[in-house]
Amino acid sequence: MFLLAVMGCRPEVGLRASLVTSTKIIAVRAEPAEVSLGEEVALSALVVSPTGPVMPPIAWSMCRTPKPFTIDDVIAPACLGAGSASLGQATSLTATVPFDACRLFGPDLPPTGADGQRVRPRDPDATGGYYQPFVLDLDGAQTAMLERMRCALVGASAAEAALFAMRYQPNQNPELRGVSLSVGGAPVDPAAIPVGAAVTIVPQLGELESYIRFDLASGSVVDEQETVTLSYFITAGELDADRGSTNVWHAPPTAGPEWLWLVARDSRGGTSHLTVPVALR
Amino acid sequence: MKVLVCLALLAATASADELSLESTVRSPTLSGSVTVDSAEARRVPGATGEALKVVESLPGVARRSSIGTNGLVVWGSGPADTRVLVDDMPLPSLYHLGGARALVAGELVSRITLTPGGYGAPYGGGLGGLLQITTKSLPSDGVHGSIAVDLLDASASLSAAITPRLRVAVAGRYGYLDRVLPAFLDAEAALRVPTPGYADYQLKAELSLRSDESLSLVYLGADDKLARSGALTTTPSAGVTETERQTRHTERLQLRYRRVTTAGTLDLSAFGGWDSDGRETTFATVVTDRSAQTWRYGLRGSYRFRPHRRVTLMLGVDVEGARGSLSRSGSFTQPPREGDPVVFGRPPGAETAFERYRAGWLRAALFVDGELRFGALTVSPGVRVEALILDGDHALPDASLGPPRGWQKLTGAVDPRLTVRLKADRQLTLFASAGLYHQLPELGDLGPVFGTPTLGPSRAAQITGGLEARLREVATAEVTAFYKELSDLVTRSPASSPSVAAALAQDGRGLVYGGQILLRLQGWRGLSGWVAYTLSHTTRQDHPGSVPRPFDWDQTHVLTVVAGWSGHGWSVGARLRVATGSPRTDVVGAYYDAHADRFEPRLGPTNGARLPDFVALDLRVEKTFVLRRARLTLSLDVQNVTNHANVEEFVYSADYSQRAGLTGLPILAIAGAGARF
Repeated sequence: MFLLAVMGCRPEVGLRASLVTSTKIIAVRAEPAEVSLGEEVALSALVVSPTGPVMPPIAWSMCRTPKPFTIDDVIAPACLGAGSASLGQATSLTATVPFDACRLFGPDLPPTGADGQRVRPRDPDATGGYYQPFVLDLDGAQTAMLERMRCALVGASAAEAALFAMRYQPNQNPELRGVSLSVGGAPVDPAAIPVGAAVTIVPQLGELESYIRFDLASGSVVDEQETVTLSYFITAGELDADRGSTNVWHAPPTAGPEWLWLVARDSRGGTSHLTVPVALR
Repeated sequence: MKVLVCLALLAATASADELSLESTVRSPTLSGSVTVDSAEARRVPGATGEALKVVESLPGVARRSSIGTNGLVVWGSGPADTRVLVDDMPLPSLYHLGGARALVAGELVSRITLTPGGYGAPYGGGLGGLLQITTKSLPSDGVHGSIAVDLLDASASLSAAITPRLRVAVAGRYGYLDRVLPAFLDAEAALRVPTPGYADYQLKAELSLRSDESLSLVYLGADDKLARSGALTTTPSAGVTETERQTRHTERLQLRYRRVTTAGTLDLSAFGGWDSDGRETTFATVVTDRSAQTWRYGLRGSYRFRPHRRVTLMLGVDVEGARGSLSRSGSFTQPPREGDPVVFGRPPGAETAFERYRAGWLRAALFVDGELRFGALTVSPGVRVEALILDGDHALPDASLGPPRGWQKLTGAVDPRLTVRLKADRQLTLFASAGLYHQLPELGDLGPVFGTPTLGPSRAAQITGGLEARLREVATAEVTAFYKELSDLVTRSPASSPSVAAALAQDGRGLVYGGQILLRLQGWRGLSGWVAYTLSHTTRQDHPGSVPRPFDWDQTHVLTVVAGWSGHGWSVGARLRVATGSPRTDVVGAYYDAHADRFEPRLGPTNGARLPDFVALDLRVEKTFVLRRARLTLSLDVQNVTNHANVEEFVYSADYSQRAGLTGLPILAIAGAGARF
């Protein structure tokens, strides 16, 4: 009978995540998308507001506290406080991934722990990745972002490790080439969208990357193809969905300038975004 | 108001004893235990004719969420801690996946006995309660059967006396809700709603040997599958899909010999069985996959005799083992353990790991259980001495690159038990019991990556006491107080970087205390029923020095009132359930995860909040017609008559700034009819 409890009884709570009603960070892009230890990375936040993109100062910090492996969080809760090292205030900045990052957030652990036993290596994500976390603070609202870093391979034989090293290609940010808008199948100029129209949004993505990862179950290097998730944000109207390969925007019935943002995230942590100013007439 | 009216043909399960609504609840034989005949159990409102669901209405049992666990929570012990035995043969759980039906069809069940704690030396292996399901003795002549169809499943049974000494019965049930439900739902909902499919089948054969001997064979089998897909996480419009597929297969075969003579009673039984479990969940790119194939076996023998007119002794041996092949991959926190700070609908952690191993355990026990009678005083001392062997083939993960290294652990346990009963007068009996209990870790906790291969048994010390009063010939009252201390409980390692093969620790403690009242009316002018109230307080301390927290299923008050009347072929009944809401971990804030484009909650103290209280009233009306050799039964079962919106989980907005309740069953009416010969 429990299934009947679920049937039709689940409320959708709160505003849609896609509707921008306040100033907030919706994406953080790192260039390059994957670094080696000691490398610099350029970080920039996409901050949006109901009146369009803004560039307020953001307090950046680098997380220095490993996440307990028993929690669902993306970073250690301590990194939202004293567990991070401040990097300064800016909308974008450059940071260096420290040499001990794979020890703190990857598999490079000391040989033995406090009890003299070997320490359990940290687990990678489903793509085999390890990440250096950063924390952004915008007027008290905190955001966590992860920069993929290259760490040692754990559990592989010498032959598989050599094959992995030979074939591995670092991740690149996804390519978001543009977006086409149409109404009733006819292309429409973003600067002249009819009020109240149902606007079909079709993003144009570049080619999806292939990559390799080491599969613990089979003990071998396997080939994978990245997936890209597209998120949509608007300042008015309503979207059919907050995410998807395409979308439909039900424009508001009043004329005026509005904003549309698309954020593409690949499965290895790369991010790209697109800002589309639109005018409703 | 949402009203669901489901027309169904219900099992025609009326038998001669069912025609009378006179209660057949039996007197307890152990402190705090309750026995209910299956005929009585099937008529409890809200159970839709399923006998074993009566357990939910008994004292000491926490209310089971309509969304959560399928297991029993008894006197502050988790679902895995209460043993479910069919003729002393253990089952992995009482219910099919989804909890709508029990693994054993009621056709072969004679009675159900729940002992919430304080049971004697003949049984062990669990820190919680003991649920004993006794199969029926088969009819000594003729051919009998039943057939039934309803919205959930179809079932049939047949029994026959092949010869004057050999009797055989078969029963089976096939659930087709996973095929029927999509007809009532739109396509999106059909994906989102977890729809269980299940089947179970039983065979029992009885052979009378000499006049004082009998041999019986029982075979049980059950299949389950459950699938769900869709955006069941924080906000459906987020477009992030989650899928879940679960399968389970169980088989048991038992051979049992019994000889009853004037000198004593000899019971010998052996069982073997096979469990297969698989569960795969996917959230975005995180796939969690668990599978286990486990052989189970056991031998049991006991001899009960009276060496002196004041003394009865039972000597016995109880051997049980399990050997499994297990694998697991995916997120460490999926599925959650008891005590994990769970927020409903929250995706699991993104880190993934993998393990594959074999492990097993063997528990060999000798027990002595005595009964010494000194007038009105009966003292029942007992002791259970167990040798425990655990072993596995992976002391370290495969990723350690060395050759696989096995491990073995040998330990033992001595569990003394004592029950004292004082019959103060004809109406009043006082009782008290105390005992130690052990429980081996689950095979799934013995893995080298997600678990710890060196785990040992968890322990419990239980003390109970109370009184039983026979108010009149038809009414009884029982008051029981209980106190339990649990130790060496398996919990997650508190270390941010634990040692290899030590993801779980074994230093958790638990404290349970409370009391329960059971008032029973046993057939007075057609009236029967009971009032069961349990007051309890259960906490867990995950590690020494950590702050004790409420147990995941701690329910301070649980009140169940069951009342029925029968006469002139009619039977009407009502059940009222009131329970304190279970603990939940509160969300006190959130931060945005730009990597995954979702918010992560910031959590308050674990289990620091509670769901609202649960209230439900169920009704059942049944009419039986006698048609020559067959009996026709018409019934109407209405659940949650007042359509009370019971919150089963908290759900949150995408940014965790707002909270609402996910409600359980609305009013649900099931009408049925059936026949039996």
